[in-house]
Amino acid sequence: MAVRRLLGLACLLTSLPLGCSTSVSVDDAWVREPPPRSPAAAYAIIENSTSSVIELTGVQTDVAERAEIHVMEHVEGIMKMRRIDSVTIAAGASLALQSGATHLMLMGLRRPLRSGDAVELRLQFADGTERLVQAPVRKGGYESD
Amino acid sequence: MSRTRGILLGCLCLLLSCSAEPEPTAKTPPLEDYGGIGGDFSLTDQSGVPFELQALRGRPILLFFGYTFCPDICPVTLSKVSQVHEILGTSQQNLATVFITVDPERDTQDKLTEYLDYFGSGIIGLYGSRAETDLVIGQYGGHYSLNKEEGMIDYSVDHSTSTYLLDQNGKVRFLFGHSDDPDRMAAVTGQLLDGP
Repeated sequence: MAVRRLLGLACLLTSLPLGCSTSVSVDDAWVREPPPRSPAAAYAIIENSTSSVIELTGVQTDVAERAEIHVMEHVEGIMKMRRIDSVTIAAGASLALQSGATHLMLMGLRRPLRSGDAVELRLQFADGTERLVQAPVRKGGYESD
Repeated sequence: MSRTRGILLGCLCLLLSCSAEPEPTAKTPPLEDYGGIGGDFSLTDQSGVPFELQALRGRPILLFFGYTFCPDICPVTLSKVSQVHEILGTSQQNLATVFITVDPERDTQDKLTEYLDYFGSGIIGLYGSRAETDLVIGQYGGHYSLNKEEGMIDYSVDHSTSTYLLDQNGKVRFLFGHSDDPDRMAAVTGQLLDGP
């Protein structure tokens, strides 16, 4: 574990994109252009090609005061959204962070986000590793979900 | 008639009979009668002007409950409604969009105006007191619940995700869910625009 944490730290210090492990990938990251003074939702697909469970424990970004993992559940016609501390991804599985399901919330935006901007997201995992991704901001029509 | 002319005529008939067949389309669900929910109400619009639903008689309406802090469902729904307008070639003048906030404490007039203008001009944003809001959403068979703790600013609101289609007489005629795409919404809504 200590070695993995050191490896994670090395990734962090060197800001290597998508890390030192080649078996966890983050693809198709994007941020829905938020209306003025509203929070933004961010989406991506995390693919775990390792033989172990991985756990996404957080996200950081310079563009927002707070960034959280949120899960949405549709129960009897009511959409319920809750902050969660982490989400696990089974070995060989992938997690789609998407509209109407688990996604990332960027709150307290420090500047307006407009289509064409890019947001750097730092995804943090339980083993101490991180993944840096550039998420383009785009207008999120229905077809983008 | 020569053999060649006969063949040409036959081909022409075949072509005409083929083109007369309707294009295969997804079946559009019929409009329904939701007698138990809906009805007129009074709230205040984003300009601070008292609003009566009755004022929209003669126009079909797409009505939705939400809140501007909502990062996902509400923007998606408003984007879908914008797409419905594009598909049908309608403006807010002949198909009204009404957004009722379930979070009037944070959704001030300015915030509602700024938020709704982002999705297009002419969207009617409505707010009321907590009691007025409860009355209207209850009338439409919807629910909401604030996930708010003392001092919390970034709270979320659980809320119904149905988009209500009201006809020209203010009657609820269809409930769209979050999974309904703009094409389906436009097809259903179009029945009101094409009708007598």
